[in-house]
Amino acid sequence: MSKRFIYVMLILNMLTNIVAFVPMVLIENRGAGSVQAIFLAVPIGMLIIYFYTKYMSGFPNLGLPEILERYTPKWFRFCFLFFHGVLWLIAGLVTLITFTHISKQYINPDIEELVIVLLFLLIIVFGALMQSRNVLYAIEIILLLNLPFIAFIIFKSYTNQELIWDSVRVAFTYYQEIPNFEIVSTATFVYTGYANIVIFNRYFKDVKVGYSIIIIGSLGLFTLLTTFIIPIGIHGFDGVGFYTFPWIATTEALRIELGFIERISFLFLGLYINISIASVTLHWHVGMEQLKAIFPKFKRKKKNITPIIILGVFALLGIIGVLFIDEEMLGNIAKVWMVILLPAQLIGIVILKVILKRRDKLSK
Amino acid sequence: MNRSKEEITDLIKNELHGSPDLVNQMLEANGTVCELWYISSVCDSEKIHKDLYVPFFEERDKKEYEDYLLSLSSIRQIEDGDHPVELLLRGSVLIFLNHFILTLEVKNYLNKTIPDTTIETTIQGPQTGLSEDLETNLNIIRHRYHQSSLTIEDRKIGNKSQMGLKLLYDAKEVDLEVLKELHQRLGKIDKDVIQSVSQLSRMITRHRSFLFPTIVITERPDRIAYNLSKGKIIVIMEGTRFALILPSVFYDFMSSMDDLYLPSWIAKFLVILRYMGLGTALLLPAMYVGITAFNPEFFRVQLALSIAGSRMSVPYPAYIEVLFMLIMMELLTEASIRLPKAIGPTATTVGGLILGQAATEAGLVSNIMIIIVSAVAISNFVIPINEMSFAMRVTKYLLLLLATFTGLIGVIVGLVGIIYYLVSLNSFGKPYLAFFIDEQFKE
Repeated sequence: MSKRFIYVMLILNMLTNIVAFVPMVLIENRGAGSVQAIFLAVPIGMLIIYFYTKYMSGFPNLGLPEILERYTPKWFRFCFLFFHGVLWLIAGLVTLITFTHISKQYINPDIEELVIVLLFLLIIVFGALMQSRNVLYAIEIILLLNLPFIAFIIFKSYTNQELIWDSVRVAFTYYQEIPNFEIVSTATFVYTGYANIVIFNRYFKDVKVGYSIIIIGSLGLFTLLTTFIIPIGIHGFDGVGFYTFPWIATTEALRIELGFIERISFLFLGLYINISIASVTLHWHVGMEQLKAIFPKFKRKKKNITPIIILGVFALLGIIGVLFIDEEMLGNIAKVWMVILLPAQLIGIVILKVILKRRDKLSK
Repeated sequence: MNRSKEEITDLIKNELHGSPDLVNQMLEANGTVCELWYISSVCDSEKIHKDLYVPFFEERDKKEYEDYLLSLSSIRQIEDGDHPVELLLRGSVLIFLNHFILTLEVKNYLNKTIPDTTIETTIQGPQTGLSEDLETNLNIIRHRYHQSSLTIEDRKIGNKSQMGLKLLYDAKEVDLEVLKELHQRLGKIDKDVIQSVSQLSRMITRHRSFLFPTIVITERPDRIAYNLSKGKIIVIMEGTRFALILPSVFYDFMSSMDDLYLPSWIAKFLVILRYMGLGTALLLPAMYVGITAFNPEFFRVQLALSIAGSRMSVPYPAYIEVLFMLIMMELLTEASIRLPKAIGPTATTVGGLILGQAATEAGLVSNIMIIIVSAVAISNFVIPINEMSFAMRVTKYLLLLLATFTGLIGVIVGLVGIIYYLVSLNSFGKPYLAFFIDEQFKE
């Protein structure tokens, strides 16, 4: 498979950050270190991607479950994959619940949230049950269909007359504030798309990114800056604090003067349903694959139904989450998740390095 | 040769006693006796006359006639594996001369005409299609694809109909796994009568592709030749003037041979146009329902008002209006396929013009609805391969259903669902839909 898919996964995650509470955290802390966090996140993210893909290339055509099976004890493999699986499950869950709330609030207030989430889950579970290869093809198509429109929206928002650059300047005057760990960890979220290779490495011989790491780094920086600047510029440095979903409120403020759709928010919401579905499908697929490797196989009519059971549980959690978790609590879950994110990535790298060393010793 | 003459003639008489067109003729001259068996309705009697009768009486002794017969092209001695009755049924003549039992193919296939393409037409590409005769088709294809590596495999299909089937491929280019898979699936078919390649294609595709075709059916020899060169397998069958091309991917169904014959920018424009047509045909009805019933604020005010104004006299919700007009349109399309050609235009005039006009005037549907339905009908037929356009015709109702219950969210989710479904399909182990499909094929 082409290495292109690594970029597909990375870009998908960059786009998803908007529904994954990254803007919320960044804007909440706009006076408390977000600016530094953004610029800190870039080298951190680049280094993590560089080392992770480098070490992963040491195991051509093997996914993380297979690597752990060969070189680590059983209990460790179980714990680690379980932890990873839950991490990916929550990533999808947060996106799903947020997006169900957004759909209800901004697109169709008349419909029950349950109906919306069932509709999403139907597609997501079907998508996540596909072969890994097909999941990649599907998200690539969705991404390529959506990117031109998203580029248009970004273009529109930067060229908008109402964008107050002074507010942005105000935000950047806080550049001396030292960010806390939470903000930095959150900001690195845009670079975490690579992590899905824990499963997709099964299809790759070599996932090293080489010099294109610079492109990835600058794309991530651009995403983070856009995420941060545009809402502040549109709503003002103080005004932006009032919104739960600053980005949707922002697109509500943009209009296409000469198109037959006047409000960009509708275009934006439509695109983000696509992006979110693709992202949840990807996350849950990867989460399911990792959990599948540690749970026993249940067979029915000679077919392994463990993936269906796992995704069924995921879906159930999704429904429960939509019904019982409100935005504030979800925000807190997301924050905790974000805080775990950075250490988890570092642990992942260290473990891979240790395994690589062990393997080299064994082969000698 | 371990079967005697008597054994064979008994077998023939026994099995074909209900066929009055079975001919059994004894020729006798100069002490030579020759016995002929054939079925007159599938044989070319002129050829039999010219090649067998006339020389028989012209030659002076039996040795000469024997030599003559053996020198005829495509004559051969009967072998153990041959079933004499089957040979007769396929248009061969059995010749008993002295101790020889010979068979000569004198098949006369009446339906040999090569028709113009009627389903996939191009503007300035080749204009003729395939015929219904296998040999003629082979001739057509050979004349378009001059390669020594072109391999032809014979098979028979259908327990009773025993139709001849030919698999054609370029041995240098073909993907052997696909070929193996095809052999396997053909072997599994257990059906008495198979009449057309489209029926065959149903049987060799997996049950998962119940809506979207995964094998291209074409009538164009140029498409066949092009696909042969790309390493695909062609299946042609006796009695149909269509061929199967496999494996096929989604893009194959959206490409017309014109794309190769036109300047590249024009061709690209046409391809984009086709995808726009596909989008229109799929989305327009569902979007209309989603927007008018759930989110009228989607459009800018002027447009929203003019749609609402046009719907003012319509007494029921948008989805009934859409469904009503769509079903009318489908009926019209279906009727114009089934109608005798002479009355065809009447139906379209009555249905399209008068009904549409009257329905708006009576206030049953809005003017904008008429425009939408016409746009859908037109753009649906932009899709070059017929089967795909039929599949899309059905798919739009699924989207309409989703839109009726869940509005625009449903439309978008449905669209993602279609993408997922198409991606999850495969055609003989090859991915059906991926953005850069060529690259996936090379692996």
